[in-house]
This record gives sequence, C-alpha cells and structure tokens, in this order.
Amino acid sequence: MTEEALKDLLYKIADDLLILGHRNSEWTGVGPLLEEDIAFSSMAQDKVGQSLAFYNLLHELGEQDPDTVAFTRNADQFHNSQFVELPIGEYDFSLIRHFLFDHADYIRFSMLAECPIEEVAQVAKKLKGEIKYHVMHANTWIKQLATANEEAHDRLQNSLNEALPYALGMFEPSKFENEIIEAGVYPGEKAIEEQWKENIVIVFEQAGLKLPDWDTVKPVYGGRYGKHTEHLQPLVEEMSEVFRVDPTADW
Amino acid sequence: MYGGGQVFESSSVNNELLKDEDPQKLAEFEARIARGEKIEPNDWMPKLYRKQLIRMIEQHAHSEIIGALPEGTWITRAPGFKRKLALMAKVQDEVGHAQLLYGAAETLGKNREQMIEDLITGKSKYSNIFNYPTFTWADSCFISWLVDAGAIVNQLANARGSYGPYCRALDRICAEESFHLKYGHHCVIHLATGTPKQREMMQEAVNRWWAPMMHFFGPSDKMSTHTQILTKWKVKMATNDECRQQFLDMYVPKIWELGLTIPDENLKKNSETGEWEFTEPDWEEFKRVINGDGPCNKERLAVRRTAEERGAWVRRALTAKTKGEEYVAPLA
Amino acid sequence: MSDFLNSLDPRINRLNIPAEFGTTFPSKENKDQFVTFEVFVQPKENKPYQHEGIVHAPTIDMAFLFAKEQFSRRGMSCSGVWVVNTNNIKVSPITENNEDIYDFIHEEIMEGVEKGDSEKYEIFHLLKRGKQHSHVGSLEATCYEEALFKAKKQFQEEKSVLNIWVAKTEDFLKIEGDEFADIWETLPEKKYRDAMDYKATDKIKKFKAEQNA
Repeated sequence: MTEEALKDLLYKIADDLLILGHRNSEWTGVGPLLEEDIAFSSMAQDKVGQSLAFYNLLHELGEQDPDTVAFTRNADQFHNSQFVELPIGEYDFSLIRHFLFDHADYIRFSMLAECPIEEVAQVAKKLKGEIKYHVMHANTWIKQLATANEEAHDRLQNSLNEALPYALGMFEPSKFENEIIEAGVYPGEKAIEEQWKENIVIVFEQAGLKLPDWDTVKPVYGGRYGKHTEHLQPLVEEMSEVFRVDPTADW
Repeated sequence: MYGGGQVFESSSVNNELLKDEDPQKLAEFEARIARGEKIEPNDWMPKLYRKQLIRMIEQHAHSEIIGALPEGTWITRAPGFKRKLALMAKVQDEVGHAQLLYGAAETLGKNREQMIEDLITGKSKYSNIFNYPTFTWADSCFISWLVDAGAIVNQLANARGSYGPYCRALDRICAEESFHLKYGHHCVIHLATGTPKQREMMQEAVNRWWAPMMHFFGPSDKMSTHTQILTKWKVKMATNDECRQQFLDMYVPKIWELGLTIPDENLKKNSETGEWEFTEPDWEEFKRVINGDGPCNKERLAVRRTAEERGAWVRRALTAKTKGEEYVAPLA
Repeated sequence: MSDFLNSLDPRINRLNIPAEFGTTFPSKENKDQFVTFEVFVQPKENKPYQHEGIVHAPTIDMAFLFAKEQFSRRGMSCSGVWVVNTNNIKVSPITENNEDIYDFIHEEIMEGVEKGDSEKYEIFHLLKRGKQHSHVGSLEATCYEEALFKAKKQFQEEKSVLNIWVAKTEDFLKIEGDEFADIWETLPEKKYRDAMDYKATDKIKKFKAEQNA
C-alpha cells in the first residue's frame, strides 16, 4: 500500500471529526436544556480532540503540523463528507446526525483498532471508549424522544429522511479503496456501511422510526474528493479567522 | 463567574420578614453560624436568610449562563487546536456552573424552571459585565483571565459562607475556575508578548474592558443594618470594596508586568494606606446598563430566550415521559 | 439582514433570531421541570461513591448521560457513576455535630411498618455539615426502617454520623465495572481542562529580560 493511500484515509477521518466537532460546538451555551448543553459540548470537544490525534498521525507521516493542516486549507482541500458540514439546523437534525455519524464512527474505530499499522490501531483503540459513550448518548436520546410524543417523533422522522442521502456519503469509496482493503488496513467503506445499516435499524425499530428502502436513497458523494456544499468554505474561514491573522504568530 | 453589586435588596420589607421569627430558633441558628458550622437544607432558617440566599445564588447562576455567551462568540474562531479545546471546555464549565448553582438554589425551595423564567422575562438580574461585546479574540482572553479572576475573588469569599449546598457548589466551581484563570492568563501572555499586531489587540481589549471590570464588583457598600445582618449570617462575606481592592492588588501588577497599560492615570497603590486609588467609576453608566440600556442586554436575553423557545419542543416531549412523577428539590 | 439580530457571534447569526423581540417577554409555561436525580461518583476503584450533586432528567438513563459529563469529565480517573431518583431516597433527621444519629435509632422505628420481601439497600453517611454524603455499604432488609436499624449495627462507627440516606439498590442505575471502564479511559489525556497545562512563566521572564535589555 502506498503512503498516499494511508494519508487519504487518515485525512478523511480527521476532517470529518474536525468539521463535525465545530458544528456541534455551535450548541454550547444555547442547547435545549442545561445538562444536555454540557454533554453535547463534551462530545464536540471529543471530536475535535480525536481529529487532532489523526492530524498528529499525519504529521508523523510528513504532513505539516496539525494547526497548519487544519486551519490553513480551503474547503476544496477538505476530505470530509458533506454530511458533517451541513448547518446544525434544529436540535432534531443535530441529534439525528450525531446518531448516524457516531454509529458509523464506532464501527470504523472498532475496525481500525485491529489495523496492522500499530500507530493507527493504538489511536483507534484508545478513542473507541469515547465514541462508545457518544453512541449510548445517541441511542438513548433517539429512543426516548421518538417515543415521547407525536411532535418529537415527526421531527426526528423528517430529519432522518433529510439526513440519509448525506449520511450515505460518509461511505463514499476513496480512490485507494481496493489498495487499502488488500493491505488489510480495514475492511473498507462498503463493510462499514453494511454493518451500520444493521446497527441503526435495531434502534430505529425500538424508536418507531422508519427507514426507507435503501435502493431509493441516492447517496450524496463528492466530499471525499473535495467537492462540498456552499456551507463549508464560510465555516473553514470562520474556524481559522484568528489563526489566519498571522499563522506564524504564537497564539 | 460573578461579581458584586445589585445582589441584595435593602427595603424595609426585609425587616418585616425578620420581625416574626421565633427568637429561640433564631438564636440557635445564629449560634450555629457563629460556631462556623454550615446550615443544611432541612435546618430551620429565617425567612429573610432563605430569601436573600435564593436571590444571590440565582443571580450567580444567571450570570454563569449568560456569561457563556460573550466568550461562546469565539468558540468556532479560537486560533488553533489548543485554544479551541480550552475555550470549548471553558464555556462548557460556565454552563456547568449554572447547573450547579441552580441546584443549590433549588434546595431552598425555588425550582429551576421558575428561575430560568425569571431570567428570560427580565425579572431577575445577572452580572452587568456580560452586557458588553467581545469584538476581538483579545476581548475573550481578557474575560477568561481577568473577569474570571474577579469572580474568583468573590467566589472564594462566598465559599466561606454559611449555606452548605452553596459552599459545596462554590468549592467545585473555584477548582474549575483555576483552569479558566490559568488559561486566560496564558492567552493574554501570548498576545502581550507576541507580534505588534497581537500586542495592539490586547491593549485595545484592556482599554475597552477596564471600566466594566471596575463596575464588576459593584458600588461601594453602605453598611446598613440590613447588610450587617447578612454579614453576621455569613451570606455576604466581603464588601464590594474589599473584593475590588483585593483584585487590584493581585492583578494590576500582573497586567503591568506584561507591558500593558491600564486606562486610568489615577490608578496607583497608596504606600501609606496600602489601598489602591483610582478614578471613581461612572456609576451612572453602571445603572444605565443594569437597567437594560447596555450594548448587549437585548441580545443576551434574546439569545437566551431563543434557546428556551427552540428547545421547548424537546422539553415538552420529554416531560410527557415522566407524567405522574413528582418534582422534588435536590437533597443537598 | 436587518430582520435578524446582528451579533458578533457567527453562531448566533446562523440562528436567525428576529431583531425585534420587544421588551416584555411572555412567561414560559412552567411545565417542563424534569424530576431530580441524585448523582454519586466513584473516583477510582475501591474508593467510596460520593454524592456530587443532581441532574434534572426525564428518565434514569438520560440522568446517567447527563451526570457523566457534569460530574465526571475531570480528574485523573473515574470508575463509576450511580444515579437515583431523589424521590427514592429516604432521609434521616440531621443531628448536631457532636451527636450521632444512630443513637436515636432503636428497634421501635420498625413498629407498625409494612414489610416487603427482603432486598438490598444502599446506605450513605454524612459526617460533617458542609461535606458530602458518602457510601458506606449495602445490606438486606424488608423495609427502609429495617435497613436503617440494621445499618446501626453494621455501620455505626466511632465518628458520629449526622445524617443517613437509605435507598433500594434496585432504584439505582449503576454504570460501573469492566463493561464501562473504557468510557472514562481518556480522562487523563484531557489536559486542556486542567490548570496545570497552562504554564507560561518562561515567556514572561523572557519578555521582561528583553524589555530591560
């Protein structure tokens, strides 16, 4: 396997986490209830911290330092799925995204924990526990809220319908897909997607939420290749607004 | 984070409240406080004590939740990973402090939703300093270091007070504030010793925030009989002037050592009295802002209210889950 | 743009808050006050669970989600969190500092009390006003009163106990043990939440030296 292929994999993981961490941090201070404000902020911090761990791996592979990589690129240089860059919307959308993303990430990290590249496996193993709580959080919220009353159920169902095409974009195969699978780094995006579909349906059944026939959901691809919605560039500029005043300064 | 001023009611209503108390119970209560013991929720306490504590703790809690907003402004923009993670955690702490403080106030008999309603309807106050805007990153650094430093002065004093649940909350809060203080100082040091542009940003922030900072501790206290009793009951632990003096003594030298100037040419320590002298803050401005006419009052309440409104469906749905279960106040 | 509140905070601008809110805010419906759960945290294995505070939550599983981040997001380690609905804790009277509440508990407290099947109860002590309640152990009993009476035999100590909390074990949600150890595993690495991580005295020294030069 080439180093380029590995870097591509690490970049997409790191960029997903960095962007979603920033999006979720937008709720800090304005969440729907105090305790949830705190819990959701912790998970946003975890995401940003996890992205840093992957940028550090990239740095060890010769990429620039994490701050430079994270805060000086333009949107078209980001490998995140479009799913994570969408605005936070109402809380139902943010919760559904949190649920769909963290279920996928838990599978991804579990697979990477078995990765033959020791450095990657170590990071994945360590961070898996954080994501385990994120999944507990997501499952409990979705189950409790969707079964609480009609309003909440309908909001979640609508957000789910809206989110699914983008969520499938998380599993967009990279151009190195076969190379990575053959090298045994992890079983690949298709495998994550299959497992993910099995896992989420269990919760949705308990929650009374309906999944459509998967054949009717057209995945929104492009993010892994630098193609993004109009929402990413403004966010990237915002994230780096102060840093870019003088990237060489010590902030 | 929380300062002084505008906390205590000083109307004759309070003397009325005190008149009917059982003298023997009152004597036992006062003896307990004099012995340095804490009062716990199920202990007998005078109505006035309960009322003033609710008022004080509630305002403290509101200040935390509103205080999350001016710094929250910089969460997505904080420069680099280290600052981002720290600022997210710091603002989260402020929300967490509100949660702890509301819990302490609840033990006295007012539920949290009622307190939040009083905040968003404008009935209940919060610290004035959060009605000022954070124009630049340096403003948020000023708050993290110096506003939190001021709050710590105040909170450490209150943590020696007489009400158990409030003291427990404050112990926790002060431990977390030490992170805020160090983080804020770290940020300010980096700006003040950094590039000319960074230095300029920092100096401008000091210029903007000095007046609100002096207001933070509230006007000079006039020691009425009313505040005397609150001091005796260890509700009020230090005067506004004492807190302000302590703050100046601890932090002015630290600001100066970074080569920053403070926009008050009369500011100096009197070597004979050991007291800091300064230009009298503009208390008319202070009153004007407290009464709603500050640069950000409207926005702060609008944002808080929006958070309430847009979160209402979540709470409505979830309360449907617990029908039949009774709310009770926290035990401790 | 003018229809919306124009904030310095880009996050707030994206919320599209109407610019005019008016000056009087309507009262919010006072109906969404959740019930109360008491939270106990074990900082590390073999240490007693300590009362840390409360969360408001609609259900006990959500209470845990909230309690974990409000009360165990800092520190070098955490090995467990318990939550219990406040309604399910029975509280003894509180004594003076030099008195032991157990001295006031006699067999008579069980008279006329309805007994159920024997089950497990958890006992918590407060040793000093201003401090936190701490878990001392569990025992089998047929009612709260019997649990309290048995606690006297089992847990009365030399130091006087001011106040006792008793609750049925089955009323707790306990997240602890090997199954959950990994959710706290990265705690020691969250250095950015810790004051220790922000040392800059060298920078000040260097700056001062440059100023003096």
